[in-house]
Amino acid sequence: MTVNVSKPAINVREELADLRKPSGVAGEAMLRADTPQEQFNLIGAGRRNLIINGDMQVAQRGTSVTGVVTSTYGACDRWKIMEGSVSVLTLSQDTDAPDGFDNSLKIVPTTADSSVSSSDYSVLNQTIEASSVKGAATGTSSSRPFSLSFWVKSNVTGTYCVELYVTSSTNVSAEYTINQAGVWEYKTVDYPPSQNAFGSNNLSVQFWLLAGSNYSGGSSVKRVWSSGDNTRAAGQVNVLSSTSNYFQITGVQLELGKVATPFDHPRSYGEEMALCQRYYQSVYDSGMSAIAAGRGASGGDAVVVAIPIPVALRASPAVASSGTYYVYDHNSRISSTPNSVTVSNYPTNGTVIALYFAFSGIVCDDDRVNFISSLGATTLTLDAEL
Amino acid sequence: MIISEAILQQHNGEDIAIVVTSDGINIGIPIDPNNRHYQAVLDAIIEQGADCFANEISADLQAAADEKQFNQQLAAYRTATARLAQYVLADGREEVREMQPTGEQVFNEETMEMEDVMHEVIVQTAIEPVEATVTRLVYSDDMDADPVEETIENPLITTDVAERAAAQAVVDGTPAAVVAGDPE
Repeated sequence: MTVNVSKPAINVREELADLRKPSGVAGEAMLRADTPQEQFNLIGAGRRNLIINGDMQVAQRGTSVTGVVTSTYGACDRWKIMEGSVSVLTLSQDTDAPDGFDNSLKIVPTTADSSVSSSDYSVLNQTIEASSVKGAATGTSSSRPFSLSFWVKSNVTGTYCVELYVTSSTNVSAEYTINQAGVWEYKTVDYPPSQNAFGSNNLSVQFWLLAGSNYSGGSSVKRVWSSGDNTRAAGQVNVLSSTSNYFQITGVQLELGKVATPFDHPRSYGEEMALCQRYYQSVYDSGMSAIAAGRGASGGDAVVVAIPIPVALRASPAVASSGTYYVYDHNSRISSTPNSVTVSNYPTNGTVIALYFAFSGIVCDDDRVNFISSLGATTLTLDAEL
Repeated sequence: MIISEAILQQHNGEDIAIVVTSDGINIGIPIDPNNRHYQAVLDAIIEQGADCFANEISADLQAAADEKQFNQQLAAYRTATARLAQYVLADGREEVREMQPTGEQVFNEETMEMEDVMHEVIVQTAIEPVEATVTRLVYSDDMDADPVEETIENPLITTDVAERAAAQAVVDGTPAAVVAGDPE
């Protein structure tokens, strides 16, 4: 039996011309993508950076903090030093930065720790809320890897560790090397997908500066989600061994995916500030004598004042207050330092917060409107950091 | 933040905040578990007891600190028991096999019922013990002297033994109430 098969004619010249399309490797990858989601991931569309203030431009608490001996937020917003050694540190927002950046965070030991004991640690930390990393789909078959990129500079060359920390049993560490002293170097590391679901736990990015044997005594297990505390910083150099040493960092970007992309610069200063204000806000600062209206309370020695805030806070904040206020009644004005300032009421996601100013020896009638205004070097801050 | 001389502030008979003074700055801390300063106060109560307060601690605050301490001890206990459940490096691990259904079934003419076809499956692979000792070269200060070979315990075993001892110490030090409260 004979079977005749007919096929459409192929123009070999056209087919070859198609192969020469000037689309490049990335273009070919886009063409091969099966789904819009795959294309979205390939071009890194959307807001990529999970880190807030990665370029260290926002510093609501002031540009430096000295005498740091315990866990402290200072200098650049959202960045916390977790200090558990004999070192005493100064943190500052520095104008020395690589091209494309205006600022860096600089850490200098004013008291060194050259004899590290087993439980010593010093870590630069930023904690990211659990809700912000849901896209990682941890603990599922779709779990995604993370990549971290940053610029770093130090006079101490050698091996450094940077980890993603969720809990004591869910953390992963990676190494990077500072090759040249005193030169800005761009680093990227990646972390595999986590088979453990993060759940409601927050995710911390932690740059090690000093690690005792409790954290570095194990074998070097890198880029593996593990439960061992003593492998977290195996091989880490001691940056705090001399008061001549320093560590500077900027352009920190944590994103989903195996490949680090360029820093997410399109985020403006205003956007970055608003993101920071979810965690910390400065209401009154030195020399600002803005007035706020409230009502007398507690038999006349307290005033409850409602203050609008620009961004809803993450949670009810701790209120830090120093200095003196003017308190105005209907026909008088006195200056007084409050015994305490606390939150009277803060509704979830509210953009107005009621603060309770407790004074001594003043009379504010409960049935009258009272006003307060900060006086001189008064400061008032709201802290809802993680 | 170092917590000392904290004051529990009340308004209309209710606890509304905890006030602490740090470096001359007055900090009003909300009674809210989501606030990190509140968690620091609970940690201070766990560590120092009522001494970190200038006035008395309310029963609610003490209960919150007790609950946090319980959860911390429970987490440490679980981590330690998980560590102890790992095999001992010096002993290695034996292979474990068990019979499991293949998913197929055959008809048994004697019982007149369908029966699972079983096969043997390795559910735990064997792991050889690590070498008990390792040798290393020790160099003296004398540049002309030959290095001396020294045999020591395998550092992997040393670390394993130390970690197991630390985990055992945690288990031994866990209050009975915490162990009893562990549903796992």
